[in-house]
Amino acid sequence: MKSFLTLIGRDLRLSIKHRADTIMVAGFFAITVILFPFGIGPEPGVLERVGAGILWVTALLACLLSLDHLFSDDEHDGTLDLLLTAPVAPTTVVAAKITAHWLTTGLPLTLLAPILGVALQMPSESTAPMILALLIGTPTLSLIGAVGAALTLGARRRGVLLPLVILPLYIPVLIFGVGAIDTSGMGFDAGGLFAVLGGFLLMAAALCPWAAAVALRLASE
Amino acid sequence: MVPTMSTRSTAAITFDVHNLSARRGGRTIFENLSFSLKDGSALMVTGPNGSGKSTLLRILVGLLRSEAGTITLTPEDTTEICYAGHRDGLKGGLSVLENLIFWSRLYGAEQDAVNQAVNRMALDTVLEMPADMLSAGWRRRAGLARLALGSASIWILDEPYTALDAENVDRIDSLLNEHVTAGGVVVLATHQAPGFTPNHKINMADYPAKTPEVEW
Repeated sequence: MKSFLTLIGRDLRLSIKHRADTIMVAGFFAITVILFPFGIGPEPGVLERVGAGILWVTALLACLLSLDHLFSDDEHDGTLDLLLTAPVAPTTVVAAKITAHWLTTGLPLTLLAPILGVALQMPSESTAPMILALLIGTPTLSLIGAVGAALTLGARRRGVLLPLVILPLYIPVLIFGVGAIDTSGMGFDAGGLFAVLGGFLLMAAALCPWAAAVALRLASE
Repeated sequence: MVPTMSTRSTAAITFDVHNLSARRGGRTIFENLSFSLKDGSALMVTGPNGSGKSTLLRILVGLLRSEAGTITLTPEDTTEICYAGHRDGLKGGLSVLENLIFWSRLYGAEQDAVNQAVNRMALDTVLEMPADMLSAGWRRRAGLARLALGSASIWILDEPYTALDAENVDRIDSLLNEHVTAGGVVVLATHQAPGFTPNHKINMADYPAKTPEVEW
């Protein structure tokens, strides 16, 4: 546990030093979402209907932007070799990196979403469900993404390969994430949809760090 | 005064490698390599470029799989191994001190170990500098300071002398010599004769691939 916190601490410290990276991801998210009202037009009802989908799809893409260098920075400067030979379980290393990734990507996106929801004319009743859905859903994105980042480590054209591997796996989160926001916005009970999102998170938390650790081992060969 | 090294486990170490073979990219690199090391011994691995020195070392630390052969380590504990490769594993954005503190925490070392490592490698003038501002030699020194942080008894070093000037080669030599004297094991791949006498030597050119290659 101590080494887990040490690893998270290091990654957070690095993201503060390279804070432009975090700001760019949040900036990409904000600007892309704001483009939609301009593209679709201000007719009432239209944006409101597609708002949750726009937020989620943009969040997926923003998440992908930062996944690219989740492991490749450590691989490039030799840190990954040292971490894999250090007295720490590789799964712990991966779990810590995923947690740090979510804290610097998923969490800022979740906090930005309610503000952008206003630009998308989303009803105020859907603000709380939106935050909750993103809070449960974005860690799942980081977890699944870590497996893809580890699998594509060292591959040529990684920037194109990573989305091809990862985006199909994001579809279930997308469906239930949008469903949860829309259903709550219409005033119905969305407890079941949130439960499914939570189930995805638990399943990903159990499997992904392990799978990514195995993939990293293979990539270091 | 020479700062004392951090405490090491005193259990007897045996590090046996038997008939090891390696394949990389469809080519057998070396075959039937064996050696046996006990506590207080140093192995120097030499050989021409591409003869498999780095591959051997990466297999020893478990980063690569061997094609055949066995590696037996007693006590059976991989945390006993500390590896230093070609790349120094320093985070460019962090200062030298931040890098060392990170590794000391990860290795579960005492707070004092960082000060000792800094003294050993005479790093005090660059402590606050970001690692990516350092010259190659300084980076190497900062990277190797990691060895003095942990309590691993087996050190596996790939070309530790690269980019170092004579004074710092001596620093590394005395660090390694002290480690061996204290009952540790050192395996180092190098082109440069170390300033102490390793009691085991391997020339990779003596273990060429004998299996005929499949023609494509």
